[in-house]
Amino acid sequence: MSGTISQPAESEGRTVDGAASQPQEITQKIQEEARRLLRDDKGDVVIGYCQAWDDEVVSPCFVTDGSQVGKLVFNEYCYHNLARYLVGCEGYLTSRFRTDEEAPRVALVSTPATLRTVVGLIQEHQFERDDLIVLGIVDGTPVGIEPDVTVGRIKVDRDEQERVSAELQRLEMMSVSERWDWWEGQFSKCIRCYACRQVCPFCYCEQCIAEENQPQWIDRSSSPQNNRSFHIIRACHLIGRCTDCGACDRACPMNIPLSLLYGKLAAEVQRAFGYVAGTDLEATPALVDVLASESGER
Amino acid sequence: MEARILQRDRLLQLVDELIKDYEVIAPRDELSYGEIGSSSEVYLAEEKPVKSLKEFFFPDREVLFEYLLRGEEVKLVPLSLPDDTARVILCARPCDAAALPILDQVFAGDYLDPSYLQRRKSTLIISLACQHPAKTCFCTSLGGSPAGTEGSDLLLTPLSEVYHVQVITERGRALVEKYGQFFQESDEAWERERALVEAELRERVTKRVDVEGLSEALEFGSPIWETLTPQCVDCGVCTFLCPTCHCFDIQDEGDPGGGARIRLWDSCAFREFTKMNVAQPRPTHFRRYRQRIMHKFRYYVENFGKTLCVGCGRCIAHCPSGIDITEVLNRVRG
Repeated sequence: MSGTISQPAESEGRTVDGAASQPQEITQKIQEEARRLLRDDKGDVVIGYCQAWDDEVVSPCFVTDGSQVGKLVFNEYCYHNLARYLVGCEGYLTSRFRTDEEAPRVALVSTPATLRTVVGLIQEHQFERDDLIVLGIVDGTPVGIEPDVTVGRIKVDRDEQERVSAELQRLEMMSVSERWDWWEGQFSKCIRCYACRQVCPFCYCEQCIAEENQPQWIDRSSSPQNNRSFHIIRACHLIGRCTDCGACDRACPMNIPLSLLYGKLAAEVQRAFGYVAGTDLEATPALVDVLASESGER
Repeated sequence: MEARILQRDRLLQLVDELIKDYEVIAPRDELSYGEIGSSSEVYLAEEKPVKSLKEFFFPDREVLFEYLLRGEEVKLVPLSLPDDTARVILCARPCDAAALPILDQVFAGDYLDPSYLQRRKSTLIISLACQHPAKTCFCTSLGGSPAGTEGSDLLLTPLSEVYHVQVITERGRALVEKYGQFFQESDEAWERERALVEAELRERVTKRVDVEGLSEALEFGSPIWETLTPQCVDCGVCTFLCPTCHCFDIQDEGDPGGGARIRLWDSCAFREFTKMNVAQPRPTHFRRYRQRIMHKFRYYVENFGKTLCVGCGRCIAHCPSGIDITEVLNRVRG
């Protein structure tokens, strides 16, 4: 789900031809690369997807042994943003439960949104480019990183983009108070399970403001007011960083359409600053740029 | 078995009659049960509501007391019990009803929780047998059934032409008598059909987990825990949607002028869960997930003789990482 960002047909520096790979071909390529990395001792773990309890459900998986490579798959249900497993206090690249010497060499199966996320995380100094082996799946949209191996080409889900875009237009036609009420209705469904935050690679803070209690910025219980505060603050923290991967939207058990919120934010950042998160590793993130110029440092 | 028959086309009329006398709660949309004001608001779908019934007995936010600070004076407003309006929960899923006697062990056992008890006492439960058990359902492995009676006062089972109404408790019988004009006596033919229907519904529950000897097989010190669920993202989906998970936190909400002490749902998946001044007892993921499994399938069994799971499958259906608890259990016992 890459929302409403208008993108050029080709990524910079690389031409992607129109032919998309079949899921089986991508699966095969991922397995080949995983087998090679583990066999040649070039990597310690391959983070990818495996089949879960139903044909339409996959699960993130972590392959450390050549004999397990066969369980890696790729199909249309692989929407989880696997960069999530790299960061945070238990992340593969940033865990504080092991020393730097023990850090594994990680290969990451990366969809286009995940590639943009990796760029963002490098920009935020969570890890270095060379810390990660990127097994990229591209779709012609700009990604600010060259995968170490391109394991497949997929098509952009135009139907989903159009659905989100039409829904956003509908919201924008509303008056401010109607729109507020609409979002209040959505946020009132929230049960504060934090699935949205937990699946988000950019929500890597060890101490989330939602749980801070000295001072208590947001009350913990689920109430319309508390839920609204949580979602607005989270959105503000993700402006210019969110790569609109849609993982939070899909994770929400209460069907809160978070893609609309984050798609809108991404579109606004692009409109105001010409910045699309994750498309240029060298760019200064929009918010950093703005804050620096406002404080006179730039 | 005591039973009645309710004509198919009279169910909605009965619902409207009940609404005159009770607060009626029923599946209201795909997400949850809720109070309905008319029989037309009952939302009957193949899938069970995303949220279980537990919030109607153990709400996700409950005020324990309120406080007011006026100058030097502190005024406490003690807990007021939920009002005792008689409630009927209609078309409950049998698994959701079966969760209530399990919750009773905690809230109405050694310790009697006044709010919980009040809500339990004032609520009558009419379950509706599941006609479309999901791929994620495994109630039959835990002593339940798509037409299970545990925790219900009445159970409706759709037969070819009518609803079979099984009378399970005295309260259920009283309700059937109160609305006698809607019901007729069952007979052997209907009973035979009901038994066939239940057998057929049970067949449709295909996911299984072997709980025989499971509790003894779960070892805290086993190395397997570290490898079980690395894909888990530590969110609260499984615990909050679970009809039996009941861990809570207590928080003060408000400002120096006044506020309230709140009991709210908590989750063993959260990093902050049971965090103490000195340390976090479960600092890494596998320790938190181990707690969830051990609590459900060992500690609870040891404490109360019941498994803290009814096999509703919500934790499987809604897990953002595709984790299947039955597969976890099968792996953990080797």
